[in-house]
Amino acid sequence: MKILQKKICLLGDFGVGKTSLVARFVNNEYSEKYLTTVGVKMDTKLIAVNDELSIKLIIWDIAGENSLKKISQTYLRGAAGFLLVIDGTRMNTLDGALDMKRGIRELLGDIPFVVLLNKYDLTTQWELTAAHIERLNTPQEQLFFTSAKSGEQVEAAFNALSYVLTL
Amino acid sequence: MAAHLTEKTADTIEQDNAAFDMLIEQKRYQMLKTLLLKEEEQRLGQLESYFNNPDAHAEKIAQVLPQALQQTDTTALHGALSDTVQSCIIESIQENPVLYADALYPVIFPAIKKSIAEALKQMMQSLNQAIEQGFSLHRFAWHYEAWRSGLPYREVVLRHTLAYRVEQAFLIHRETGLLLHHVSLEDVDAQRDGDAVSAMLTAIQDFTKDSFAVNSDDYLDMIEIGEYTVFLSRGSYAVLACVIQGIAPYSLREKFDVILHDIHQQYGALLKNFAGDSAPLAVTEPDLQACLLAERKQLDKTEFSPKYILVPLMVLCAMLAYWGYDNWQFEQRAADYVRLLQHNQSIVITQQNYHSGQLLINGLYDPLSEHPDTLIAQSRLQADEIQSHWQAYQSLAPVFVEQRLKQLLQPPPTVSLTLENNRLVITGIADDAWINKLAIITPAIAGVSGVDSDKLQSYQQQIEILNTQIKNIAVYFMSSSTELTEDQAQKLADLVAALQQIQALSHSINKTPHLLITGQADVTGTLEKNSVLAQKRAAIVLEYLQQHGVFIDTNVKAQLGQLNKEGTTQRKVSFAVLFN
Repeated sequence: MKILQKKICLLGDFGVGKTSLVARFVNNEYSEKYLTTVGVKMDTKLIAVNDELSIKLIIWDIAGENSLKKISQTYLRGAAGFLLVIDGTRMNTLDGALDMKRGIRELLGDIPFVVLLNKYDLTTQWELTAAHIERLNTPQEQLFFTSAKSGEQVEAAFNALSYVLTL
Repeated sequence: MAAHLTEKTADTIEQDNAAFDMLIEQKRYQMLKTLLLKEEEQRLGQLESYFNNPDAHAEKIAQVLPQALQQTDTTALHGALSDTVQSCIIESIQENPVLYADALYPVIFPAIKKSIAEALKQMMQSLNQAIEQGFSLHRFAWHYEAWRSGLPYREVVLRHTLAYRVEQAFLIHRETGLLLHHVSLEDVDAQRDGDAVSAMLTAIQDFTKDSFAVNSDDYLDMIEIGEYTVFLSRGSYAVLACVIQGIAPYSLREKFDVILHDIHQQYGALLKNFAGDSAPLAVTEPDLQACLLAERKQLDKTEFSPKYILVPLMVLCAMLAYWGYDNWQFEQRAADYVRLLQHNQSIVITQQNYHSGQLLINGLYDPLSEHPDTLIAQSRLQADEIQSHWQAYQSLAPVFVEQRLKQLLQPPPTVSLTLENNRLVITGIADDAWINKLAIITPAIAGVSGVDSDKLQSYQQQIEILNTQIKNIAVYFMSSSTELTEDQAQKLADLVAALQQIQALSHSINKTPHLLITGQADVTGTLEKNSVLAQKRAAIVLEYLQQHGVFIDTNVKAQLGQLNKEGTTQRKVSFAVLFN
């Protein structure tokens, strides 16, 4: 069986749930505790695409920043794809995400990505509306309403990106 | 009838002819059979007799048996024979074991000999190994370290015997930080995800470069963590990260650079076109294996020698012995002192023990006796070797009760106090005041259950007793005589003693005694003569008393005798003591 390694990055504002998403995806764990990531945290996960091919995701969980300028851009170098994480209960994380998406396009070109509208379990505090989401200008199949807490759509989001990376 | 007979006869004749013909046929068949099968018949006869004769049969089987066995299917034969053979052997051994022992001896003896030799050899080897390794100070220390740190002993040994060793080598894609290939030593616990390590190493390089690099071609070359060093060599497409345990010589860097350069030269195209599939990069395995270098440390050859430990051990023993002897001596001296204290009736030891070369002692003592600490001087202990705490109490030992009584009662010299079975026995003479004091004080004294004062008299009583004695004394004279006979003078000696006592006692009660001497005469003769006689007799006695040291104011009185109850005359001198 062939194994392809791919570097992917998680990007998003402080506390949008990047590390929790990785923990849910890699170890199927969740903790209410908030631990801020310093620098970057690495995880790997092997995903079987089909009988002949597996993809090994090298996940770079980069410390949250509200602008790409503040992120060490060298961390992004060589990334095959990225996950843009937005906190659905905090409107302002959307603007940061849009900014980052633009920046990455300039830096790495048109690499695959998915957008994760996270904390979908907090329905009562949800702020994002369809109008906001439209601003992302992202095809529906690349948008995921996720919850690291319940695990909803987390695997789907990662798997969707993985699939695109094999093409 | 005839016709019938004829018919019958004709049938019979026909029958007879047929029988005859058959007989002839049979004869002919026999003849033919004999002619044709004579030989076969003989051979059949032989075979029959052969099968009926076991001896001949056995002979034949014996001839073919070896061949037959050779041709038989061995598995089937083994199955068929095993039980029989087994029981045969068992039976045979039971019948004659010596035979089998003799038969097996040439086989078994060398086998046993060889086995014992092997076992001995192994034992000697392990013994040698144990002697070689067992007494090495290093090994002892390493075992201790392994135990303390919880690391396997092998790892501790490696750590100490190797100057350095390269444990892992990561070939990392420079652009993506993806792991191209990874090698590690067999015994290295490479449980960590090589891919994550590779990514992290890349991130660390990026971070340090972003944070600290002054020039664009400054990179992180080395990471040091604990006893590990990571050397990072950088090529156009790949980074070689080698993890080294121990002290990594800088020359290693050059070797790694060369290896990485070779990899680039050989597999440059592979590296350049890398798109996530690391399988083709497995070709770099020999190059990376070449990175796993190691160098043995020059071990300090100091092996364990008894002399290194003997001297300190002896010193330690001597110190222990001295300390033990010193301690023993101290305890002996302390025990002597304790015995001295115990000997004293007033001292009660409530607690004693030894601590830091000191005798700690607590107890009680009666202040009537000497303080226990004063006894230290009589012992062989020094004052600083004792920590004592004494509390005063009243001892009920008779000797102390007696002492306390004397102190409280302050008896006059004429009185003696003794304690008999806790009862105070008082003998002697005392004045009334002291006797009253006695009655008040004694019941309050602990250790006295009662008072026997039968033998105690007051001065007054004593004087009265003496006076009675004196009054009972009478000195008799012969008729018309004033001569003091010897036996009568004897009575005066008693009188003198009693008078002297009274005189002494009178001082105690502040009174002055007066002696009244009454001389008497019987009524025979003239009154005048008798009066003179009585006077004279009293005077003689007085003179005698004065001569014998009686100096009491004395009145002399003369009396005419009277008849006493018995009717005898009174020619005597009698006495009485009076107090004014």
